[in-house]
Amino acid sequence: MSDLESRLQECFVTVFPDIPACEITATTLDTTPQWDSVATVILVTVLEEQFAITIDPGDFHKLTSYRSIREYLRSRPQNAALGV
Amino acid sequence: MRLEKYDSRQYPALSVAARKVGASSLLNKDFVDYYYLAQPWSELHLAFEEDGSCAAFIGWERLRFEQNGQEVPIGFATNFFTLKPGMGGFLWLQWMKSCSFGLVFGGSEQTHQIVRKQNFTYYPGMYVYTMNGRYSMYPGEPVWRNTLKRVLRHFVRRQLRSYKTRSFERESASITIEEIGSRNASRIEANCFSFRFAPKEDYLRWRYNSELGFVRYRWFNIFEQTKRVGYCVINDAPAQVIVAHSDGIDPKKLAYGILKAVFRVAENDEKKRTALLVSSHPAMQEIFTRYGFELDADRPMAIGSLRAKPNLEDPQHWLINFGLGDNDLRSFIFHSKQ
Repeated sequence: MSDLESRLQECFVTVFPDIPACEITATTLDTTPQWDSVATVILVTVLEEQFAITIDPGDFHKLTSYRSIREYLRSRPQNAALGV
Repeated sequence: MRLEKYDSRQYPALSVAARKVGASSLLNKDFVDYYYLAQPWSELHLAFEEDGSCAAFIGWERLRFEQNGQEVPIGFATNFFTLKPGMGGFLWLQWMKSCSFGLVFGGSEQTHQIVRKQNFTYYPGMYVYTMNGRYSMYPGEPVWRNTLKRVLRHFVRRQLRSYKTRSFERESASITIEEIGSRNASRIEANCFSFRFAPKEDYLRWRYNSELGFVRYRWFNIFEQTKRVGYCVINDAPAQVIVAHSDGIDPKKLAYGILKAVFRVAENDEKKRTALLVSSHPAMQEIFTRYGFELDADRPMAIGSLRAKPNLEDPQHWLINFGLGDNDLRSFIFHSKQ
């Protein structure tokens, strides 16, 4: 598992402690009942802290699932070195 | 999901969502277009599902406060609703990223869940006062007591003008008011409040425009002898007389002027209306309660940001009015022009 992936999983475990680790990567806004507005706010805040980034509101639409967030983070130049 | 700033072509999708969540003010398109499209400092943002339906929305205003004479810009959230869990959070963050500090005054339980998680600072003591109120029900109060209150209120409610007593007239004799239109509105520069909403004239004339079709605002300048000591704006609604905004150089003179404006607005009433205002200032509260206002509720106010804590003093020296943001427009808006 890449550093980026392990740190991303850490973020999701922090925000969604009730979701089993094996299901984290399948988490989406559409299918996860625990993913409410409070969770969204905390998740974005935790992502910004964990990856030392500022997420532009214009990119929020890319943050609706674990996988899309992973792709978004990979696309950011400062995370390219963290690998896949 | 896509996030977009509101324009009037999106009104059909917005109105469907507003109806579902009970955001009644948004069912009036004249209001929505005036409030969210007419000025750069008030915006509405929507989150759409893939099928084009609106799943969440939030509005915000950029308000100009003053803290000890220094300008403090603060974002005020309006009409925050989520139909689909999760999507509202993105809009909330969009709002928070648009301002240094955000202010929530009133608001839903969902809003306060986020506010608490974000460690906003709550400022207690923003008391809502009503004169000739219907009745107040409190959690845990027995049903019989609430029923009795309802019955009693029905018989004891009276005309607002009857609260204007001789002792009030005697005590406030040096204070006079003059009704003006919002076109002639002007702000108060010097005053004694440590923190207050202090917009410029262009905001005042827009937000509390006395010529709108969906709400009726009435403006009153307040004088002591010939010196202007304040002003207040009354939302003259069918069932309520709401003190929407005010400012002044002295709390007591302002309180007397506000009371005079309330009585002036209600002087020809046939209905038994309720008057409503907010005050956090003890000197003003004392005058309001002496002349008929009763404490109704503590309206939650919280200020915060994504990273920093606000540095504000004791709310007892603040001037806060009910009509911040869209507070006085949520349920009192006329729908006749739809």
